[in-house]
Parts: sequence; C-alpha cells; structure tokens
Amino acid sequence: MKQRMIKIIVLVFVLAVSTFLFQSYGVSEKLSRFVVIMKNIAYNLEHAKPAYEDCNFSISDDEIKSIDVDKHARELESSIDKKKKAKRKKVVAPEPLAPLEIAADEIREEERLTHDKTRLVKAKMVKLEDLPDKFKPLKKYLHEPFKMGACKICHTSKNNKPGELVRKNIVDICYSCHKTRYTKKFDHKPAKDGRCMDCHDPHQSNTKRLLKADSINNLCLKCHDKRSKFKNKAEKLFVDMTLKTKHKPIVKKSCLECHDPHTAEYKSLLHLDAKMDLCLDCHDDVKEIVQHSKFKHGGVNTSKRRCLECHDPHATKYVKLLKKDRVQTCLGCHDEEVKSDEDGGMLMNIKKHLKENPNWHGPIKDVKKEGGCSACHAPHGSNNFSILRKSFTKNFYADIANKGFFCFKCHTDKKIKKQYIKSDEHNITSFRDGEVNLHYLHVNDRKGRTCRACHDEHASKYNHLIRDYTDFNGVKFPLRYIETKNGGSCAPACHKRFEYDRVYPKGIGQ
Amino acid sequence: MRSCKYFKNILIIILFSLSLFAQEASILKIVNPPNEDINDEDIVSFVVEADKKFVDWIIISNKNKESNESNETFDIKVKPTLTHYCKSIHLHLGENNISVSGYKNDILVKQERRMIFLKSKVHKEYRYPPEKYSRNYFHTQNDEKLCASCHDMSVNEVKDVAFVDITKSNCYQCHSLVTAKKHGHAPAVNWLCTSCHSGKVGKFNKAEHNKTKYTVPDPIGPLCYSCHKKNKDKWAKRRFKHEPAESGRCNRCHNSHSSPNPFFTRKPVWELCTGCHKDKVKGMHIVTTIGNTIHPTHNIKDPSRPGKDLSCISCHNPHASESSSLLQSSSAFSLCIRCHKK
Repeated sequence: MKQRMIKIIVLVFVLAVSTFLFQSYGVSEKLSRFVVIMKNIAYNLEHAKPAYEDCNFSISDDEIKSIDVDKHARELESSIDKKKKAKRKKVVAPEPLAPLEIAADEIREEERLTHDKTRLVKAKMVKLEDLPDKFKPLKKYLHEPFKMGACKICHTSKNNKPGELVRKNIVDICYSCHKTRYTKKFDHKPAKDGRCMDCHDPHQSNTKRLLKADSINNLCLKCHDKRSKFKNKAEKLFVDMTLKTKHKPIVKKSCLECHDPHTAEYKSLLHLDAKMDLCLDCHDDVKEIVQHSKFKHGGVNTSKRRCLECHDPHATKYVKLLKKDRVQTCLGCHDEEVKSDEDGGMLMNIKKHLKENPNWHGPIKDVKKEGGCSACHAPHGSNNFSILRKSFTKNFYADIANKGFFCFKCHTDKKIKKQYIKSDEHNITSFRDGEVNLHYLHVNDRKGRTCRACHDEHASKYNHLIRDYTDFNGVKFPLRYIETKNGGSCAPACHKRFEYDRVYPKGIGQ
Repeated sequence: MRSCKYFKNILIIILFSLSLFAQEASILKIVNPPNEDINDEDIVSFVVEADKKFVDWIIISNKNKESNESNETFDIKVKPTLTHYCKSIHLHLGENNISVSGYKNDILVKQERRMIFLKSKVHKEYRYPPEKYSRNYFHTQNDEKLCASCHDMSVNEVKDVAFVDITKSNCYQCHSLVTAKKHGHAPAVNWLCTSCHSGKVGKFNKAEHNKTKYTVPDPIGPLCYSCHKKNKDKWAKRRFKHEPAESGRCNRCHNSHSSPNPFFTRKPVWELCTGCHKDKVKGMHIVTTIGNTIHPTHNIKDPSRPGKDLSCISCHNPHASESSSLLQSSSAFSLCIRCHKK
C-alpha cells in the first residue's frame, strides 16, 4: 500500500512539475510555431526553383545579334582563298620584272609586232652608218624598222626633200603596222586625234617604248602638270606632283599603275571605277573596313565621290593624301547637321560647335601631334558606334572602370581607379577635394557615370571640357560649373551645389 | 403703399450694410486660399489684400494644437505701393487653423481665419478629410488675372532643357518652397514643371479635367515610367507586386518634388510602411526567438546594408518581388542569411 502511495505521489509530482515546465516555457506555443516553420520549409523545398535555373547559361538576343556571322564566313572564305592562291603560286612563279615594264607590257602584248624580213627585202636598206647626223649618237632603244635601216617603210625618196612621208597622216603610217586600234569607251585625246608623235619618237629614244621623255611620269607631266602651258584648259586634268605627299605608285612605279595611256573602259583612262573600286583594288586593309564594318562612314559609303571626297589620288600638301588639313577635311561636310548612316539620326554640326566653344579637346586642338578627328574616329568605318576606333558607351551609367573604355587610351585610368591622390601624385587629376579623388567618387559606383556625363568630347565653353548641359533621359540639365582658383563647384541635376577645393578641402566624400 | 415703404427701408439697410462690408473688405481680405480647402502639398500660398490706410502690419500664423514645433508666424509690413501680399506657409497634417491679422499702430484692426486640411497619402487618419472641406484649384483664368499685375503667369520653360538659373523660372517665383527640402527630384529641382504638370488627367481624376491648367494625371505611374523605364520593365516581370506600385500610384509613397528622406519618400521608410500596415507596429512580426524577444524591425543598424538602418526594406522589396510577401530573397533561408551569417 505504502509503496503504491509513494509511486502515485511521485507520479503526480512528476506530472505537476512537467506541466509547470510545459507552461512556463511556452512549449506548446513553440511547438506549434515549430510546426509552422517546418511547414514553411517543406513548402519552400517543394516550390523552390531548381538550382540550375538560376545560372544563366542561355545566350541573350543582344549577344546573338553581336555575333557577326558574315565576318566569320568571310574570314573562312579568305583563308580558303589564300590556300588556293598559295597553290596557284607554286605552279606559276611570277618572274621578277623591272618596275617600269610591268603594266605597259601587259597592255601591249597583243600588239607587239614581229618583222619578217621578206617584207623588208623590197625596201632599200640603209646601213646605220649612213644615217643622217642628227640621229647620232644612237640611243638605247631603236624603232625596229629604224634599226633595220628600212626607212622606206615610212619615208619616200622620190623628191630630194629629206624625211618626206609615205602618207600624209602619220597615224595612218603607224596603224599600217600597229594594227590594234583603240576602241574602248574613253580615249586619250592625242591617241584619238592620231597624234602618236606627241608621246612617241618614231626613230629612237633612251626610254623604253620610244618615249619622248626620260620616264613615263615626266612624259605625262609634260602636259598634265599644273604649271604646263595647257593649264587653263580644264583644271581637273592637271596634277601638281611637287607637293609634299605623293601617292606611292606614282613615285615608285608610274602613272600607268592606274591610268592607261591610250584608252580605257572607265573615265579618266582608268582600269577600274575611280571613285572606289580602283582604290580598293590595292588597299586591301581599307577594303575590309569599308565593305564589312558594322558602322560605315557616310562619306565613304554613300557619298557621291566616295574615296575622292577626302583624298586626292595624286599629291597633296597634307598627310594621307587628304585634300585639306585633317580636321578641315572632316568639317568640309560636317559644317551642317548630317544624317547618320548608323541609326538615321542627325549628327551634330561640329563646325558650329567648335566655333561656339573655344576650349577644344587635345586631338582637335593640336592636330599635328595628336591626329585630329581621326585620333578617335576611324574615317573609313568601324565596329563601334560613331565609327569610334575603340569601344565606348552611349549610356549615362556604365561600369566604366572595368571595361577599358576609349578615353583611357590617352588619359591614365588612375584618374578613376585611385580613391585618394597623395601629395606626390597631384598630376593625376585636379578634380579632387584635398586628397579625395572626386573622379573616383563619380565613376566607381554600382552605376558609375561615364566620362561623357560631365565632359564634352569635342569642345566646351568651360575648362576641362566640362559640358554646359548633360543629357539625361532626353532632358538637358545644366551642370552649372563654376571654376575657382583651387577648385570649383557644380550643381547638376544629380545633386545640389557641391564645392571642392584642392588646398582647403571642403570635406566631400568623408 | 405700406409695403413700398418697407421695401425702401429694407433697401436702405441692405445698401448700408453692403457699404460697411465693402469698406471692411478693403481693410484686410484673404484672396487665396478659400476657406475649408483641401491641400496635398504641405505648403500653401496665402494672398492677402490690405490697405495701407487701415493696416500697418499683417501677421499670418499657423498654430498647431498638438505640438509647438510646427508653429509658424510671419510678419509682413504693409507698403503704400502694394495692395496684395503673398506668403507661403507650411501646413501640418490634418486641420490647420491659420489666422491673418491686420494691425494698425499695434492695435488689432481685423482678423480673418482659414481652415485648411492637409491630406496625407500615407496616414489613414488624414486620408479622408471631413465633409465640409472641398478641393479648390488656383490656376484658373480669373485667379491668374489677379496675379498678373505682379507676376508673369506664363510658362517660360523650354521643353526638355532645364534652367541654368532656376530663379528665372516663372513657377519658382511662388512655388520655391516646394523643392527646398534636402533630397530633390531632378525635374522638380530644375523646375521642369510642365513635363509632369501637363494639365492632363488620368482615369482616377477625370473630374479635374479643365478645372486647372496644371493638373497631374492620376495614376501618375506612366509619367514616372517615361523616365524610369528600366524599373517598369524590371517590376513588370516579377510575380508579386506591391499594390501602389502596380497601380502606378508612385506618389503615394514618393514626393515627386522634394523630401527630407532619401528616394523622396514622404516619411522615413519604417513610418511610411506602418502608415498603412498598422498591424506591424506592435506584436509579433517574423519569428519570435526562444527568449520571447520580438525580432526588431527598426531602430538598429542593418547588417546586410552597411551604414544603413534596419527598416522594412531590409527584408521586403517595396515595389515587386519574385517571392511571396514581397521578400527580397527567393527563399526564407537566404533572407535570414543576409544578416545572420554563421
């Protein structure tokens, strides 16, 4: 009995204690909460996204667009072509020729004459020693009939008048042997008029092809020089080869690199269309750019005179055979708002912009040293917008520090990467408040601002090319920049007026 | 005949009282605002007409019964050349009793009162004004004629080009206080007013059509998204959206002019949210810990966003989210881990 009683008492006691504990610690509440939590966990486990969905391995539309399929195809093609060419080269090895002969020989191949002696028998042969004194001493190249002493082919000896011709027109005599007539679309005026003797000497010459001058170029320039007596006839027929920059083929080889002296299918006696095809025939590197770059320059791509809009094919005062100085060449067209080939928008009137804003960007200011517009823009075309030579962004915000944008080709990227400018590095940037680099503050952020947010890349009224207006979402906000002796202040749309001072810091960024 | 006599008497009395009234009116008269007006912005422009003959000083004061902090009093000296005097006065939420008193030689000549209700878009108790209040519009042709003698009432902003000197804006002359607070919204601070105040109306305020020249459409969302395009696309894709953000009523939480708080919120974030979500002020929010202490929702530093205070937006996205309860993270665990790192 007693033991039972004790057992019951102990049991009751344990129960009481446990209920007390149960209540005091709110176990039931916690249990119910625990159940809820577990339910949540179970729900989340059930409805959670599978892990692989989070990783973004798919290619976005933009990326697909950015892959230039044509370019890859072209690269493949060109590599195949090269291999083929290499094979061909092995079979027919080109013979090295004297520079003057190449083009001329190709042209004349069909009309080269062979003199059979049977025909010459009829003619009374004159020995070279018996020739009149005016032909002596004999020159390097002799006309074949002259060499043989067959004067009678051209001259008669009926009268005692020396040198009288068989026919009245010299051209008839020439064509009696040189039977190939010039029948293409455009003819050289002397050839068309039958004035062969204007260029060729019928007897002998020190130059190949019996020319009346010591070289092909000099022969051409006899008439086509700017200072020649024919100068007033038509301006564009004349070249001035005394200018500093000359087209290399003319100097190294001859005019015949591009022109045919007698007749041609294209205007100006050219082998190919003068505007572009002829140029690109040799300039392979430019051909690739002009024809296949993503963004094309309207000046080359759609203009009336193509290459000749900017370049002179013969000689100019300026580098790169440009017609005008580098910046002036560009301003020749960009002196009004021009329609862009890129997106159909209007390009700014840069001439007006430069005129209104006296502080110019270095390359425009110091053209000779820095290279003018073409320091940043590739004039033939580029794969970057605004035909820029290197990538940049049109956006207001960009993660600029990590992308190696164009500006940092010339400007040091320490400007934006160093948070503090120590006293011995003051030349890095003067946009600092004491030692705090304010470029860093503006640019190194989650949404860092691009250079063009504050700086005008061409010209500005203010120092440091600070813009007067910045474009944000299509609205023009003024920067309201004020420069002081040791610093300045700014009150754009982004923040209220903040002042900075290099010597007495105002405490920005602290 | 008798009735005729009475009529004469009545006429005389009426004329007399009218003459008195007319005289009194020229002493001191509040031209704007009308009595029992509803205001949305916490600034109201008072236009007082006063005559130098009867009044030397005008004192405008707004006394707040609940706190003395927002009490505001202005003294204006009456000049012989001017007849109308303008002053912008701050309002506090709810009913404002603003008195305008005219003094001549330190003796009160006349006092007028205006009851103005400042409506809140956040706090429920101030969202619905009592019935006697009604909404009035200022920029009507008649009102503008009145101001035109001193103020240029035309719009002189060039579309999409901000003023270099903002004080040149015609709007700035009267509304300068609107943008005086610390954080200013760029279009407002640059006084590109008509880009929003276009006079157009939205589906919620069709009744305001043609009542004033410068109404803003309600919902304002499409207007906001015309600049904040990226946000529109980002939030539209998400599964759960906060109702005000979804319905395009951005201005319920944001003040599109200026605000003392970052992101132009009408109140500090925690106050802003609890303005509507009253149940979250007290009681158990999030899981309670074993020691029965409630998980804090404000007044401490936020471990996940260094340098910022903990508030509702530490865990919730105020606009749109991929997960329920507009949580910032996709699962409850990753949410907790933001702060509770090992």
